Amino acid sequence: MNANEIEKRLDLFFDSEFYLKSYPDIRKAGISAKTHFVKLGWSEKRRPNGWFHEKLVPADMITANPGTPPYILFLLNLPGISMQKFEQLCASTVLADVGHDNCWDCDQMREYFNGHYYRAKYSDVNPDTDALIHFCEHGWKELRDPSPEFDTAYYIDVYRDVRSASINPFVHFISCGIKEGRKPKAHDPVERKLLRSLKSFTDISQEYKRIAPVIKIFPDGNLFSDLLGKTQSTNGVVISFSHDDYMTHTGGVQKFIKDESLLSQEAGLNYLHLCPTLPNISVISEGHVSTFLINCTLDGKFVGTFTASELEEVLQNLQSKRSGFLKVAVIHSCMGWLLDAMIRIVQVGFEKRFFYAHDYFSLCQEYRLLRNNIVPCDAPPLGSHSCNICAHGPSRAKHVGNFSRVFDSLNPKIIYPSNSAKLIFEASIPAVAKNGMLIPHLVVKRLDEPASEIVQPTGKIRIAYCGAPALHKGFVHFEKIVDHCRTNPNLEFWHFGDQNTELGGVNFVPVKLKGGKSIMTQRLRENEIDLVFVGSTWKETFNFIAYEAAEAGAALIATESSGNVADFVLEYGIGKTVPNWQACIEILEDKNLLSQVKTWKESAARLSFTPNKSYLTAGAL
Amino acid sequence: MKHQHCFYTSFNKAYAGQALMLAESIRRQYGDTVAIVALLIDRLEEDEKKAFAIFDKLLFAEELDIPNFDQWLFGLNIVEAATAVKPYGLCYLLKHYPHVTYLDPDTVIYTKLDEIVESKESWNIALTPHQITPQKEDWVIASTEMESLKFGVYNLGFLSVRATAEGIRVAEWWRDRCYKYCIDAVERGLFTDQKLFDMAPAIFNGVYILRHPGYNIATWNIREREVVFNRDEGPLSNGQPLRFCHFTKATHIGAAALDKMLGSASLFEELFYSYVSQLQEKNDSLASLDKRWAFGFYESGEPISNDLRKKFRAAHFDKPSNFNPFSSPSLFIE
Repeated sequence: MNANEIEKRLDLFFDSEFYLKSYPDIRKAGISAKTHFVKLGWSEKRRPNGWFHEKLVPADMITANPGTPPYILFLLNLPGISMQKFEQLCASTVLADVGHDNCWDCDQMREYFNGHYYRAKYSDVNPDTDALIHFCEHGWKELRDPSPEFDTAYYIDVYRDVRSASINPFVHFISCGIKEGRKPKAHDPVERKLLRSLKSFTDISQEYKRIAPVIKIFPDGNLFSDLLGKTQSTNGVVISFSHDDYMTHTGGVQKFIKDESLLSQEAGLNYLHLCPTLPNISVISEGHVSTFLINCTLDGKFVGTFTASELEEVLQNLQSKRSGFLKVAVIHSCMGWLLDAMIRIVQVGFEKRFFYAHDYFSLCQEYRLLRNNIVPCDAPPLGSHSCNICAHGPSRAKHVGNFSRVFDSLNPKIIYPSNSAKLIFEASIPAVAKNGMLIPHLVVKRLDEPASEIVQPTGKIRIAYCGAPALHKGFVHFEKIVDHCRTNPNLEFWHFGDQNTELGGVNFVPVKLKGGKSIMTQRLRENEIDLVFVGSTWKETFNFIAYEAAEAGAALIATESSGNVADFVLEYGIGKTVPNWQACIEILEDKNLLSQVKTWKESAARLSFTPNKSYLTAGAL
Repeated sequence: MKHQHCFYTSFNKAYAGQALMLAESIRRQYGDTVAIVALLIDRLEEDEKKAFAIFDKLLFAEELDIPNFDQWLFGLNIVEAATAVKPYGLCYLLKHYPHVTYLDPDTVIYTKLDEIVESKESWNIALTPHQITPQKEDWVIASTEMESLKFGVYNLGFLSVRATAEGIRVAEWWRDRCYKYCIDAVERGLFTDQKLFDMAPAIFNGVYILRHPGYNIATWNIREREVVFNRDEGPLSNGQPLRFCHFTKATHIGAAALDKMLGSASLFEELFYSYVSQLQEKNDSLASLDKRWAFGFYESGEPISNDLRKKFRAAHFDKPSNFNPFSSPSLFIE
């Protein structure tokens, strides 16, 4: 290496500002910081920048070159670190992580420990603290990761000998684990996490049974008189079925039912919503209509708990008093329902019947159609290879049989909120599916001019995850993306939702429904989000987040398997679809990201969104 | 004789969930065209038998005419006992079926075992080696080949025997050896019923060493098998149909062993966790079954330690007498 190159490296390496700030005597003397360090400072053990320490140079190298300053040896050899890392270190303003004096563990870890990563991930660690010392003393015991390449919790979990020895797992890995062929992290941590969460629906169903039910016996007389009273001024009754109380639970389906209720009332109809008193993720196979409990909400007001037989009687009485008054039945979800009860209530006299394909629960109990919770299966024929290896395969035949009874008895018109959902139903149950229609929740139009002002990124690109941090919504993918990219100076990560996971390096913005309306778009726009990641692992039938993001002028990166989201992204050119989270990282690290995001945002700004009117759009009345 | 082929598995009640999952997987592939027999080294109350209706027959070890049954069994721990009775079950079943295949309760078949059940080759017994290809990395060799040298080259979670003269000779040899040598004593070159079978190819004719990569996939050979899913062909191992997997220790211990051995993404990992989830469900459905080992206690209800079993075996094996060691702890303790 020639003198010019050493000088060039020294210019990068030496931090005059740091030196003058650290050594007031030099500042007061008014001499050149660099000249002082090169001539004298190094021998006085003064530090040339915030991160260099003699310990970064192998001791045997210093011994073999007694007359050469250690920093020169470092610049000549850059032991174990690449030029790229050297430049990163030089550009950093954080303190060096040199570890404890005479600590064997720190000596082992120093070269591999990533202080930048550690500080970015664990913001609770004091920025003035030596991160390596923190990890050595506390971090590994708290299962913190010393670098994105080493998963402390995984290593301890897999290698029980390391756990029982109570030793620093990172030190173990560096000093002997590598040679023994041990793995520093799972080959696919996301899949591992998803698989570990796999539970049978019978077990989940048991967990539901432990939830205390909301039971409220009808307080004022009876439902019949209430209904009859209310119906004096209306044109009829719409009855709807779902899995929970849409007034107290949040979610896409609940929001949709709330809108449907308001639309019905505006159309001069009473809206009677029914859900099981005891929620469950399965249909109820053992029970009787005389004892099956249902919570009823009339025109947005909770009116009480009834047995299915009582409700059937009430509706029969109403039918006899006001013929033709029972107008429309809309089935949004059958989870937790005794299907016989549902069938009998609808058969009292609701002639117009709709079945909303909000999910795939009627095709498999695994309502997202994920084989073993991880692989989209598209509802293959019963007894298929896919069902044969799936935890949910053995129970599927019975489940599908139950739904056949619903479809055969009620012959409802299926409403598909997206084409991707329609295609899956048509392939899986063609005879039933042909009696269906496509009604997206929103109508999207492309305008000639932007619908709103385009705010293009000027500094860091802001990337967000929106909604609940659920596995099947891709939060675990988002975590991995953040983990790999959190030290990237061009990116900034955000999470908008109602549950703060306190993920290191991520700005959290609380978003809750306001007056029953989502304020996601507003929050995304306020915070000038450039890119929203939708990492759904299942073929979403309809995902509002993607539309809210586009309405806020943000671009989208969505997984290829995300159903209507992927279709939306590709159709309108507002982002990119990716096969997995690793591919998303490649896009985020691409040098053309900024120009791509600008193009996508321009396309997103030209879209307009108009809500459809549920069954009213289907011409039910 | 109704069935040409009989599958059987050996277990105590603690493994009832696994045994039922295996039986269900066989039924999914074969329906009622094969017999499935449960060999129990345990006791069942009459009302407990209903849970095992999927089996064509429940065969109790106590009914197999094992000489000095009580004293013999008292000298074995639960793993040794569950394996030592396997050849007795085999000898019994070979009298009733022309072809018998043993599978460990913690195995699951995913496709028909055509290479065995439909085989036209003239073999007498079929064995599956733990590994079928040489390994390269030192640590993998230590974890696989070296382990097989200690515990046995062939995995006795699978064994298929035809009721030929030589097949019966093998079964009787195995039975006789297991009576005396079916113990976990690796330092003596013994490991339950399994290590004995290293001898089989040398001393018997018609030993079929089945090197099909779709058989007996487990943590000890996942390193040499690329297990993937193909929508049309189903699960595959090294490009051939995946026949059955062996989920030893379907707990965090097995998960850790699997993590250690997996080199890259594998369908086997998905199958493992799917199995764990279904096993949990199955065990929940068996909650009312008393899973304590019937032979794990004295008649007084006091538990019998493995250490004591070992001492008893050393002191009494060659000196059988008529007393029942289960009757009282004080009879033989000095």
